[in-house]
Amino acid sequence: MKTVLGILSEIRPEFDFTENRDFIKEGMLDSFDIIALVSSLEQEFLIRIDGTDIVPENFASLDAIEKLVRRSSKKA
Amino acid sequence: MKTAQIGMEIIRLASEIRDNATSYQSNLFADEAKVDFWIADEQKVKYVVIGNSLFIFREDRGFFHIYFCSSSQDDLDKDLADLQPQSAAWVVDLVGNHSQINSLENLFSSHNFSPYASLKRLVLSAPAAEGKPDASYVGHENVELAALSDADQLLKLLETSFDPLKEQIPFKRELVLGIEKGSILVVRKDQVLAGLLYHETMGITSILRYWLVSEHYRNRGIGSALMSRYLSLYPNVKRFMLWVLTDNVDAISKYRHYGFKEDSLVDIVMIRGAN
Repeated sequence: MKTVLGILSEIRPEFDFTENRDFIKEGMLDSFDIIALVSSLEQEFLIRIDGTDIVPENFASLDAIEKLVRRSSKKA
Repeated sequence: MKTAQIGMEIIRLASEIRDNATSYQSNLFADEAKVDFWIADEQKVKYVVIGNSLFIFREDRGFFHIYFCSSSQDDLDKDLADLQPQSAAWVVDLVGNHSQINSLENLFSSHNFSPYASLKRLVLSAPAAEGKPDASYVGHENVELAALSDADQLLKLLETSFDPLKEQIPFKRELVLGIEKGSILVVRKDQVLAGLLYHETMGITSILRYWLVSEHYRNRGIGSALMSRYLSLYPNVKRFMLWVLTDNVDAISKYRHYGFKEDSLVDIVMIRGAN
């Protein structure tokens, strides 16, 4: 199974997502990337991410995305 | 059809559709803040829910951009047929990989939308950006930041040079914000704006929105002076991006010169005339 980090690196290979940066404020993930990321996370982890959870703060860091995945897993 | 007062109205409805979707379809990439900006910018934003689809209309210069959020492509097909015709043209942007949007293009064609233009995204990534041509070039042209007093002239230059149906020209308020952020570079000649470069830079990513030299001042190195200054302004940027019309071969050739390459995203612009 892929990791969240692996999926991020597939979507934007030019960035190092292990760096302590705000992915949104730094422009590492734009709105197109987030749509692709949500789709990949749902397919890979067999989860359903609520529309209300698709907000910038849930994609701002690796930790935030992993928490979103765990939270969404419970709803699946 | 309702007029949106705040972006949250739109985002909440889109979320509801997505949560009940079997195969969510949308061309709405704007977040709540962006929709709020449209509303504050006096771009009238209206919406309607039909069946399992939300349709959003954003007024531009005599036409409407149309956005959709639908629970499936079948629902979109059905609900689009029930959408009441308007007195102004509708323009839809279908953004994604070719394979993703091909069926949507066919669907919109079946509802009397015609292909109008296509754009592709070009990207310049590090380490290519570090070795980009002319990055250290300091031209003989005096590239400077636009001033607030340039706003009207900038707007006129954009409106006379670009097609609003294809290229989403900003309104004055957005331009003023761009000037205040230092996002617009200009070259002046004979006390008029001979060229401009308008970008949005966030952290390590920069989007090049417009790069333009007024027709009368072309072939004098103004464009390359603007581009070279732009590329050297932000040494920390790791990704430069832009959208270009696929038939604008001259521009594409220039972008390639600076190291930009195509990524997989395309934008198919389709239009349905006023009834």
